[in-house]
Amino acid sequence: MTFHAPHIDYAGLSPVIALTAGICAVLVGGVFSARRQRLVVSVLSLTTVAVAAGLCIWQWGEREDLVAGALRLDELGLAGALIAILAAAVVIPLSWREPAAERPGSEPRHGEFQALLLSSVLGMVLLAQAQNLVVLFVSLELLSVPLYVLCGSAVRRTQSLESGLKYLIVGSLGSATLLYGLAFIYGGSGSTDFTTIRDAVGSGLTDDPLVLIGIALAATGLAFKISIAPFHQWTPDVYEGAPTPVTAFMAVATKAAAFCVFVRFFEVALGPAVDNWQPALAVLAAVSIVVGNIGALGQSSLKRLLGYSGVAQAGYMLVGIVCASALGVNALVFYLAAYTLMNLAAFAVIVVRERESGYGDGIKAFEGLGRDRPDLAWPLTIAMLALAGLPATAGFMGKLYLIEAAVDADYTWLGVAIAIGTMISLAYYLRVVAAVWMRPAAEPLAPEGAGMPAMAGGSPEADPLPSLAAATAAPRPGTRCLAILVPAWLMAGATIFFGVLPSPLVDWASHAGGALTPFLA
Amino acid sequence: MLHSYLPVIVFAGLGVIVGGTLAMVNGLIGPRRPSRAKDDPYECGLPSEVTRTFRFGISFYMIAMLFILFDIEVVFLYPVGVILRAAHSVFVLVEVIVFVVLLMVALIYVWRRGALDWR
Amino acid sequence: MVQVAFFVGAIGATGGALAVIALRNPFYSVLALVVHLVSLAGLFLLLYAQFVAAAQVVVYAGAVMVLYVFVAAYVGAVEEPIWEPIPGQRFLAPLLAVALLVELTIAILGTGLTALDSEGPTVHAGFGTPAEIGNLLLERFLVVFEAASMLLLIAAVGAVVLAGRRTTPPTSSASRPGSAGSGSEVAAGPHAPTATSSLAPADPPSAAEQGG
Repeated sequence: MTFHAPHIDYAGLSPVIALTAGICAVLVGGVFSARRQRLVVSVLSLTTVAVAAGLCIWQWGEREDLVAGALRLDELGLAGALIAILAAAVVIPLSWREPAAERPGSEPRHGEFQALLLSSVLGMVLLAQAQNLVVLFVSLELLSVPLYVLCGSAVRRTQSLESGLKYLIVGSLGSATLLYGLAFIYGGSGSTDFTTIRDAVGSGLTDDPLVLIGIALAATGLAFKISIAPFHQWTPDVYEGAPTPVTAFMAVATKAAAFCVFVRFFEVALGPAVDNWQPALAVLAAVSIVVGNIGALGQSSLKRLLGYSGVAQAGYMLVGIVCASALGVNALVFYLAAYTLMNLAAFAVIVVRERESGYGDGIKAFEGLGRDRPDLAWPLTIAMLALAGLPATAGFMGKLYLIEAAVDADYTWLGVAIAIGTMISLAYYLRVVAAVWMRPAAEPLAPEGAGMPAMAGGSPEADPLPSLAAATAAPRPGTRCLAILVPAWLMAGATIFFGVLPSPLVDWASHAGGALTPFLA
Repeated sequence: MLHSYLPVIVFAGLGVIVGGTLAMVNGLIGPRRPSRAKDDPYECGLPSEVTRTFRFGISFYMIAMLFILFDIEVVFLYPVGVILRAAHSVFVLVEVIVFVVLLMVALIYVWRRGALDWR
Repeated sequence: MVQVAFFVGAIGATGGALAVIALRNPFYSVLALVVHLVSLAGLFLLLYAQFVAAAQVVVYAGAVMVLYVFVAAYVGAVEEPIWEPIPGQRFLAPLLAVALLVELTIAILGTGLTALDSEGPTVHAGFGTPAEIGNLLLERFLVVFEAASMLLLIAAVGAVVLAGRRTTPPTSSASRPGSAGSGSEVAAGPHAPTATSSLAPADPPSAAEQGG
């Protein structure tokens, strides 16, 4: 047996290598720096993120197969990678005073927190570029496993543990379903490479029962990850229970990477079977739009509301895949970027408010925000209006492109569904805006969480409550938190900027669509 | 294909037959004088008390978890080790070193966080 | 001979899987799972996947099952009702399971059975051996190989984050009145520095006491 070393283009692989090295550095830096852990770790991880982003931008425009066809270097993958990296860069400052990382009364765990975050980013970068069933599955796990841990990392809050457990079980169910589907597709087509599968499916396997079952199961598995209804039930619970920075990251970055691989897998590998999966995905998109928007109506927790809104938004974005056209992919990538900006702005405000008021992320915590904290009220307002799709925001442009792509692909009824969904969504997004600007501030609750909640599952003897540390760690109201406010304003500003002047982002997204043009009808 | 596993099948078959026979013969012709000590699940030392709510400490769980991780590492390294000599390339060596270094980081982390201390 | 081996393996796998869900004692379920996994390893062997079979026995039937036993012991024997307590699910779940079975059967009958009378795929010598797998891991699936290492690293970190001991700083371990409720501790918050410093000298004797 002879061994032939695969050709490795280290330049193309450089973002992945940089992230891997960075994760190791963050982890080791975290355990060897007890005193200034937050500073050391944050410098390391922000450097990693910046280097990885720079390398992605450097490789922008290259199109080639990496490492024996395992990865595909093109603009679509890099776009997904950049979105994930941006999300991580914003979320790292958000996590600085997160109890899950700060651990009042205990050794801080910033190293772990940020290393897990970065390894999830690594999984996303690999996933967005995956061009092989095995790579797809392993990178999806690399994306998910750190998130399971991060969701449950606030070990002193039962909801966090519940969220981690729920996400683990539902996520594993989704992964297993996906793997089952991939096995059927491999069994039917006899290959794990996307392009070879495409050739096999194209030569008379479009109606092969094995491949069809595989497509159905794989679509279900991916739908779990991007929380498409009816596979969305975990979303509100997990979003609500997880530490808010983790929720922010999970909401945007997971969606971006999973949508990138969804597009690549379905348009490239399963492209010839488009007539079989297109109607099914169209129905899923419509169901998701309806279920997400109606579910969000009655929510009083902002994180739950954004969870349901995420379901609806995933439905909008799925329309981009249903179109199976370059126009659809462009619209999808544009919307992913816009969605990232708006959601990160909203979650940054929630992170601040959650620590200041005693109401957690309930809508009461945001009443009267317009008068008391206009610096927080504006980013939240802009984010909500953009999510609702009001003109002059990136959300509006994104919906416009999606509807245009839907009409172009003869799915006008899906365009109508997006429009109707948007109208319903106004009800709950505007409710938040109204609470911010038109209500008097709610009575400030004495933050009873000043003492630390007992560790879930821990015994009182083994888990002394260090009251001193908890008292000092409790945030003082009115703290400016520049590290959070600046990203929030940047994201909100970008939302407006790309709503008024969308052409840079449109150009950027159309490159991503262009990468798939050879495979699109 | 199956022929190369014939010894394994014979071995497993013999094991079942011999073991089963001995256990059966023991039950058939052995003397039977039951006592409380003999009925204990574990006959040495303190009288064992196994209840339905018996619990292991979390330390066992931690060690078992880490054992699995490094066990899987070995499963990955085994096939690579087999071809290491035949491949005869620096590339393979470097890749294996990268693999092991990543796990070394895991080991350093686990050690520094005190997960290997028995408490 | 191959047929005999196949049916032994298939019956073992199916029976083991059924026993996992039918047995009421979680320990027995774990043991049944071992039977299931070992039978699967036998089936893998019949498919010329020697390395996978060995890995299955080493990792799953060996290591993972130990963890399952720990979990079953840690959670304890909870009296679970044998029937699904949620009324809707009780009827819906079997219905959907049957639907899935029918669906899969249709798919498999549709294509798979054409090869029933053949001898299976012709594989080259050395297929499924560790050397072959090693070649694949380093040639085509190099990314996966390294990503797997990363995944193991992350799993170790995750295990420590979630289940590791929480080390508490020395000041707090000193200020541990045995029966103080959390309320009084919160109230004592501002005065905590003095309280801990006054208590700190009292710590070594008590530790020595415990040691003795």
